[in-house]
Amino acid sequence: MNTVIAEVPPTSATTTRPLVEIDRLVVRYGWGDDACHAVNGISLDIRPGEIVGLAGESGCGKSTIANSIMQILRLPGHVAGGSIRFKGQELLGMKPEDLRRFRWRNVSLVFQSAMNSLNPVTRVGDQFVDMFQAHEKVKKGEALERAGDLLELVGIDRKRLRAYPHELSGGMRQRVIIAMALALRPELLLMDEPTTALDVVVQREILDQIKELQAELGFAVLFITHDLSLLVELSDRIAIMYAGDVVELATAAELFNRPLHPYTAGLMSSFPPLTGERTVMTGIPGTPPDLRNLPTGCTFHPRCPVATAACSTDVPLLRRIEGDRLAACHLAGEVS
Amino acid sequence: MSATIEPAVVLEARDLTRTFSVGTGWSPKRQTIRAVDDVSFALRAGRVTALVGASGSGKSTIARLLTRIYEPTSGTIRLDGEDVSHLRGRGSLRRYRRQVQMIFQDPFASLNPVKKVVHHLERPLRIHKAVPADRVHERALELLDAVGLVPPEKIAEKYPHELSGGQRQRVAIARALAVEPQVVLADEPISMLDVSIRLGVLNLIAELKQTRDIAFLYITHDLASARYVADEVLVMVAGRIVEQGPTDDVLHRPLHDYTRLLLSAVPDPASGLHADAWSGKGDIERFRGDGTPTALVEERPGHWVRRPVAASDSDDVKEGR
Repeated sequence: MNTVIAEVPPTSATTTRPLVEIDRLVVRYGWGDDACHAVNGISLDIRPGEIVGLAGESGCGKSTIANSIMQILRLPGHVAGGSIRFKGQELLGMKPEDLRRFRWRNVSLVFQSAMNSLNPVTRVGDQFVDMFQAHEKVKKGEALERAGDLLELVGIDRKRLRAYPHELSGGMRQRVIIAMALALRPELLLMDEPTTALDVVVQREILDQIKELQAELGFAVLFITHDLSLLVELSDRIAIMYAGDVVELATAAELFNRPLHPYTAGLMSSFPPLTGERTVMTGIPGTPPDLRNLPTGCTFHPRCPVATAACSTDVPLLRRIEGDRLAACHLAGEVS
Repeated sequence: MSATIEPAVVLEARDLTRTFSVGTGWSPKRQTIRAVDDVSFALRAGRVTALVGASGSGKSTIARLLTRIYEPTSGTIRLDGEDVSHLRGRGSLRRYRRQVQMIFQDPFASLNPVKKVVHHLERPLRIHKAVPADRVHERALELLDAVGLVPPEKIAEKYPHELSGGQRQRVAIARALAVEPQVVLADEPISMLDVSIRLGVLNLIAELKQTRDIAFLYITHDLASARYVADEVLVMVAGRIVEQGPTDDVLHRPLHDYTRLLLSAVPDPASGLHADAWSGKGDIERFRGDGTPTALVEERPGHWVRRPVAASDSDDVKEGR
């Protein structure tokens, strides 16, 4: 079932070139004064075979990034600046026919409610066949054969090809979608809150499966969620987003052990622990800013417990604090 | 939890069962599902009881039984000792619901988008005649203040779309409090909210249970938040309670395999990065009853767990409570 795509190199840096280079990307919804500043000049690399976590509250621009990579922003959403390169090739402004080939074959996307995106009146197997036939010349029988292999890959009996979506549980449907996303052996899998609608046990099963498949097939993952504790377990590196900016970027362990940005620290202390002493926690005061009317200076300063006068006037840039760690905070390194 | 004397039981469910028929009328597949199966528990004043379970375990059906949206198939619900399981008629249901209020999961759907915030609070006050007509507005503002929506005069005049999710959920809580209920059922009240404001809502629940002596039933699939806010935990699977007891005891020293499974599935970075591989794959099925008689047994003080029993040794066995 190998496709024409070249094998993804192993995780170790045999190649210096990142798989995806997002460079000072700016995305707006709408124009002029009414525009929603969803993404404000983000730069982020995804290396081959790496799991990158993207965390932040709703409306911080996480999904917009995934949609920009896939080039499925819908007007009034538009890229207002910057570039996204995939293996060196610019994605923005790509021809529709090239984009059609690029999507799914090189990068695939699993949504939060993806399990509801299966066609309710078509058997699961036929939906695989449609997908295969949209991308390559393949006979129905062979497509079904491959679809069966894929279902088994995600732990579902191939007999279920005959099932209609409503005959499967939510977790199984989500796994069908993941199988479909992996069908053409993409090099990058974008997962936008893929387990949020599922309960913990099913979530755990699916996460384990993703990790297993990722180790086996070597694709890179951009995993988007608001659940930081989940990301820490799953990802290699984590980018924290706030109001359209990446405010911190670090390896999962470093980020968990010692967050450098006050927002990261706040997010961490928003999840009550399962172990240890029961204490009163406060979360983060206030609410996320209005993207049409962002605060001056650091966008987080109105909610920041350690903000100084400079924070309300000077925009902090994402800068190297130590080693590979980046943070966009005037006080980074001083926050405990 | 610190008090040695248990606070008074306000709402009590005993042997509560609700079945649903699935499949269409003539279909040979027609069968009965026991969504809630012989469930007994008690809600006490000033306590938060967490009802924890996976989706489909029957958590929300219990909330709907307790609010009398559903009629129980069998078993009883008692409010202050009075049997309310089969209340009929507008008047008596209204009196009951004044005591037992509910907060729903989705604050975007539970508020009327074309009505101002104040409308949502004044309406229950008028319907239930909770305060004299000339005090209704004043009382609505007090409620907003009580749930931390300040300044109340300003918030009252806003429409739901002008508020954030957390603020909307606070309005829903204020609305539930309007009639001064003894019991509040909160069905996944924080799962739709942004992570940074969830704790604020949980802290509000913790505060209200103390200041207003309300008995809360906190329905959730999130064990960590249950641990944060609840005094007692009930663990449900496939319509049955499999374990119940004081929060710390149940979550730190679980007795039932299902509770252990749930706990091991929770991502908890504090317990170690990339923790041991999870071993519970496909295990849920085995927690559905296989017909062996089981009963809740008190294995530690106040800590009950469902165990298989022989029909004869029923001495230690809990027969409802």
